[in-house]
Amino acid sequence: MDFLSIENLSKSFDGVTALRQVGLEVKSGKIHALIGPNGAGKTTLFNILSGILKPTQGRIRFKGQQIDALRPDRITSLGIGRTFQNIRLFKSLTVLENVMVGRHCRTRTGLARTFFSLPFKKLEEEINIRDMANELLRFVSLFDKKESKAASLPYGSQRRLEIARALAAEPLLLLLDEPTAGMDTRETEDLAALITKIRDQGVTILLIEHDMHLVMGISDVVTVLNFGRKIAEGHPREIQSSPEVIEAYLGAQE
Amino acid sequence: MLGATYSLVAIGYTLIFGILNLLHFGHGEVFMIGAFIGLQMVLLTNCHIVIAILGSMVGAALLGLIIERVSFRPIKKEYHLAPLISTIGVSIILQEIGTRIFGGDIVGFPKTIRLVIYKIGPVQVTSVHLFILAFALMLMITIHLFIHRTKVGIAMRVTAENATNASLMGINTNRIVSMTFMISSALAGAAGVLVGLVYNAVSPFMGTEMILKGFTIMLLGGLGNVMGAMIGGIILGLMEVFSVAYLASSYKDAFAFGIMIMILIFRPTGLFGTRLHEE
Repeated sequence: MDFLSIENLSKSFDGVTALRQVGLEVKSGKIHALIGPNGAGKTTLFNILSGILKPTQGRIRFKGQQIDALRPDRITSLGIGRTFQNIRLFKSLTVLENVMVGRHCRTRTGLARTFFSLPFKKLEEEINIRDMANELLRFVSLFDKKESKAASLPYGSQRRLEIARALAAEPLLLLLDEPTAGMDTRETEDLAALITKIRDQGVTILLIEHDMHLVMGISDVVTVLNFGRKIAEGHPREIQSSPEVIEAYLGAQE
Repeated sequence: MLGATYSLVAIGYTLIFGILNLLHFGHGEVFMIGAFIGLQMVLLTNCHIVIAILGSMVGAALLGLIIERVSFRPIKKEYHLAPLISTIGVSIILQEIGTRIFGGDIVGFPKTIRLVIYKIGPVQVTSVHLFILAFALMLMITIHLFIHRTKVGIAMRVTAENATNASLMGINTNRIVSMTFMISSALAGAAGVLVGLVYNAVSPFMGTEMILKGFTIMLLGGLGNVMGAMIGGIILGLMEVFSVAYLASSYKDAFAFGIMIMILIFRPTGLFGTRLHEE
């Protein structure tokens, strides 16, 4: 059974085609990078995978189950988490609360339960969520900032917080959309180490990234999109020497 | 005293507005139906007033759930006015149903609390007033803790901030919307019984006036701001009482709407409002 398989996926917005018959296989336990020039359809693909957008055509299977028609919250519960290119933390919540919200789909909720269940049971679940959130904050080195408002964190920390929030749902597949955008060299290196660490814990990673040094350094497989089409796929070394990829990035050489 | 019951209506209004960006015009009628449920319970079963209020909260919550399912969820949200107009429809239907079942007359509330008058200096307070104040405050504290301390409460706040984002956290936003309608309606139901007690009057038309007050309070406190709704309700209640005491009682509603106009002119974000529009 394939981990994630995308078949013949197309998406158009009012006549503009963002993705054309893209096929993609992601293998479990790998870091799979998705690269391509701006407007290549990378983020659109993420939005379809996480259920925010519905594909015009095509099929997505995650661990054998078809997911392209599911609601975002169902997809999250099945084990696909994500972060965003433009950071989308909950600004009014604290750092810790943001991570706790990420845990929502793994907890039992309901009005009746909230008001009438036995207090010690609620407390126990609450403590579990808190413990886990604290642990994740330590994992992304934000533990000492846990009571700050999310919006007050520096940019790089906000990106790591988004990752912690996504991890709180215990995803099997983590979609990272340009996680190093706006980071300096040192922060980028730290993040590369963090991503590898997450992969080593058994979480498969699909990564959109423009920093080629990072991509070539940590990826197991690289897929290149251009104008909504897949133009190359393979090991980082093969991709670096592919003429089509060089052309897509640098423009045709005369 | 009265202000605290206004707060309850306004909180429900605010919750729905905060999460759905919807002015729920049927909310006043939920308040009215809540008052009738409480009244009928007292009349028919002669039960304790607290039980009547709890019964009316449950009834109103169910009504809220039905309203959400029938007149909100199936409506296309792309057209911004559609859900709003649908709630106006709800308001008219509920008012007609109320008139048909309970008649168009104003009905008095049976005396269920022994009337004791306390004098604190120049101020006179009755036991009814104290009961209402205590009950309304208790509900407000509960709702405040609920929103800030519980998982469902946090899920509600997050949904209000950004629904798409919330759904990506694995939050079933449809369910949160249903819960919001239920909680808001339960508060309105309780407020209905409490207001019925204060004025000793319940009628199918009591919702109309209340909804305008609720709206004023929401503006006063800042759109979508629950704390603002609590304080705003108390401020409006006090202003009404003072205008009755020092001017004439027939002007008290003019005060409410005077405030609304002033706020819209001078401070459109409300007293405690910080956000006007997002994105």
